[in-house]
Amino acid sequence: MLNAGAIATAILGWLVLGGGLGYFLWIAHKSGGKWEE
Amino acid sequence: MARDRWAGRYYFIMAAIGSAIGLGNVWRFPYITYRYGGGAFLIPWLIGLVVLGLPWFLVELGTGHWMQRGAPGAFEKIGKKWEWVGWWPVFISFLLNTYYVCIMAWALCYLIGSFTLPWGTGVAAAGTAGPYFMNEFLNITPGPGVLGTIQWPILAMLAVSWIAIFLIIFKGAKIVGKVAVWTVTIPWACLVILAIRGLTLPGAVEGLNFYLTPNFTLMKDPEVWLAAFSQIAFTLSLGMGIMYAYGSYIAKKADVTNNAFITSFANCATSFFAGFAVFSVVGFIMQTLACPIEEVTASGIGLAFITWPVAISMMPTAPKVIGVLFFGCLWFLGIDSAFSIAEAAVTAIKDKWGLSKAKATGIICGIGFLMGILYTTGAGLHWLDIIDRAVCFYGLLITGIIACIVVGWVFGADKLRVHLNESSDIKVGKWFNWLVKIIVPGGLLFVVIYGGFMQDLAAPYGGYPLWAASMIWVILVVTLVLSFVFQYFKGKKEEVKK
Repeated sequence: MLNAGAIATAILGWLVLGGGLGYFLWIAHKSGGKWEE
Repeated sequence: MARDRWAGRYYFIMAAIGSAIGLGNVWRFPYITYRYGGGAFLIPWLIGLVVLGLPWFLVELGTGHWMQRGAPGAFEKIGKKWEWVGWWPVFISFLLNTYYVCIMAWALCYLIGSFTLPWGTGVAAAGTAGPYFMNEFLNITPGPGVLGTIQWPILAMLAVSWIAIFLIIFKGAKIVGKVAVWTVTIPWACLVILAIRGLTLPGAVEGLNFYLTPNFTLMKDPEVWLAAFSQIAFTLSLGMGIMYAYGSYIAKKADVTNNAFITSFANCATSFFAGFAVFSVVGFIMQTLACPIEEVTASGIGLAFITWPVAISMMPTAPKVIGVLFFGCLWFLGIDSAFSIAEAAVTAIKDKWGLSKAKATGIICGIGFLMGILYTTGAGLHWLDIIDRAVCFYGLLITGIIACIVVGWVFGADKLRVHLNESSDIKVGKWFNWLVKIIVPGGLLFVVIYGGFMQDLAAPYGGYPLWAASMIWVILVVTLVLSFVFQYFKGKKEEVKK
């Protein structure tokens, strides 16, 4: 079974990396027309 | 002639992600993470991303975007005497590509080999995969001084890989972006399938515990910070002249900063995810062979061409399919990095002499293939190791240091910052100036000195004979001299339109 430290790393790792990526993609999405440039 | 342009932002982002994500995401990051503190390693690694990786990324992408030129042309516009600063990373990355494409050729050979598993079947492969790779596949010689014979299957796959690179880039950035959508998506899909397969194998959880369990006591060790900064420096395809070229194809009014952030985070998330695929399989091998993790974990070529083939042969179901998926994944991970590196050189000579894209691409791919023949010989692995040390360690980092100093102090970090902020959604603060001027060059210098130079000064690199290890310095000096020579060649200017 995964130990507590490994679970915490998996969750925090995805929060930071996945969350960061999602945030920047959301900003890009908000800019609308700039996707065409 | 109007400047070549990406077909759209989406295509640029995919091409940049494809360039950044490469073999190192799969074969280096998971091992480094396990070795330097598991989950705790992510802290210095993410700090390295913010203080080192992102500013360096913005320097390359932003300078290329502003000057609308590849690396040499961009530095020539900063000042005629600085053009060599752009040529040096182009030469360095071109040399890197000559062996990188050869590793892709190995992956193609192993992909075809997956149908017959020539490295051994079942548990017995644990004893035969290593000797097969070294003795039968590479036919390795005792040292770099004995070239041995050319391995014809590798040479054939080398030609296939270079032809693929030529076909992808010779028509320009629009096609590159559209191809990158596939060359990024396919390895992502392969990684997802491999991770699902890995996580459902017996022993996978034990492997993940080794990968993820944090060991915070190691955080006090400077070696951990060195490893984290090195990993960030190598993972974003920086110091190769690529991002100047890619930035030069972005429309003048388009976003730069957020594109760099998206690319960097996508790259790092892929590394983190790849660790799940790699270490679940490591756990499976540990349990099946009842051996300690030290005997199973490896990084680089050993992980890809010895450890994974062993795991593939021991798979309870469909080992051939897993083999095709894994080596196909490696080839696709490599191809978009390889064509982006070739693109840096193509853009540089196209900008300088006004050659057609097809002609410039043909020249670069032809020379790259001919030079790559060295790595198909029995001494190929020795030379790969030596040249990798010269270009992928010293070359990328030293040229990165010089580029940041020239952009930060000569051109002016603040001018670049203002330019980035004019067209980008995310505004960069004045902290950027100090990162570019001091922290990035200082951090890279720290990695050069303590990550390699001190060791190489004490003893010849890799235990090679002194003459062979000295080639590291010869390569650096020769590429530097060539950079100055190319600076003084007369070129033909290309008109840049918005």
